[in-house]
Amino acid sequence: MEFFTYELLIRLIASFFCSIAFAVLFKSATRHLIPAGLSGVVTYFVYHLGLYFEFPLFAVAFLSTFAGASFAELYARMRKTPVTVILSAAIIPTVPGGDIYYTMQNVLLGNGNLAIKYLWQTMSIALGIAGGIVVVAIIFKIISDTIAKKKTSKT
Amino acid sequence: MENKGREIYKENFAEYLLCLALDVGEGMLKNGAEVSRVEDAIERICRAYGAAHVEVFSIISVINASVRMPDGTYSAQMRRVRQSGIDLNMLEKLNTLSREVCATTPALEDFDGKLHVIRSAVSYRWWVTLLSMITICSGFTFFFGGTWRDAAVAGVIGAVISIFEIFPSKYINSLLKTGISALFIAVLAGLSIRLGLGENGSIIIIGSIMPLVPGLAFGTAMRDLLLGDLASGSLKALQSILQALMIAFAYMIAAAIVGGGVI
Repeated sequence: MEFFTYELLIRLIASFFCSIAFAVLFKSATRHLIPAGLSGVVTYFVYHLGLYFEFPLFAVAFLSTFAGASFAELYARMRKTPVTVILSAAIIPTVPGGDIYYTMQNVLLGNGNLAIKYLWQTMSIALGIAGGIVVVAIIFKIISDTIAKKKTSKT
Repeated sequence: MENKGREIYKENFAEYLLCLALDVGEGMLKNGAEVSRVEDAIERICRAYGAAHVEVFSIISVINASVRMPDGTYSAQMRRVRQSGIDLNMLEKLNTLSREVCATTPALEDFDGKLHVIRSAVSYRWWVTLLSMITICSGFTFFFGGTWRDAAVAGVIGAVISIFEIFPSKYINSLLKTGISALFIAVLAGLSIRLGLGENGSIIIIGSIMPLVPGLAFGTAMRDLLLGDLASGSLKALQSILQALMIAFAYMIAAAIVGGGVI
């Protein structure tokens, strides 16, 4: 499998614009739109890396969310905004829309085994996303708490 | 919401303070803030104005708070929060306001005035929402490997379902909205295949349901659960699971309408 494919290019561009569009849908301020798009690109790029190295799906989703959420947290600390502002756009390329759809389709067509396979994929990705968000949230909470403690002990 | 009826609060400092703090909290909760952030903001605002004792409890649909001032005056209020669309810009402004208020503690009337300015601001115009919805649907159709024709069909579908975003209704809750939108998507995608406009029905549907899939909601639900907000975490998780089921249900109805082999 080649790493740089035409498909990757299309998907990166699509991630950029779709993340921006989601940020608009959630009514982010205009100055956050480009960073929101970039966060989507970061997330999808890591997702593609994970697929390239043939990691299990849970790990792929976890790592890409980890990257996107770290981007969101760093940006939020720098600009002093709530994390949700970027995070909502960052995880968009990872969301398992396709897998949810194929689960439903196979339930409808009566293909039990395939339905379970896609349900399994949906659940792994969903748990990967949740895990990524949680781990990043905890890491940044610990970091900011230690910084806050140092500041108070100095004064 | 409106400033009418505020006069009754203004006589008592504790009542007025808590009312304003709850306004900030309600606005944040409505527009997508985590419960812990809301509780934290309300507590900080009350403490900044010298409250001796503050207790706040919030889940996604209600905030309970009580405050006691050092002179013995006391206030306890409850606020029912009804979810409408998320407005991250307003959330950000309220967050900045709460920081500012905690640092400078302006007179409560000034605080009230600033809050009113923030809440009456309008964000994006309707055509920007329309455009973003079209971008999401077509963009994800490309993302999942659709052709130009698929993307065009998905764009039209996006324009149709953006009606539900542009005209929010009090009578349709978010679950029903998801269901109706998903139904429209699947039926329109099926019809486009029947008419020979689109090429890959499933890719059109996958691209178009992306605005409805509760990915972030599930993620934040898990975060709330694992960080200790059991009540709001489980409510949010239930909400996002129901939303996913709603999409599935709508898809099945649509398959019955246009014929399962097509989509």
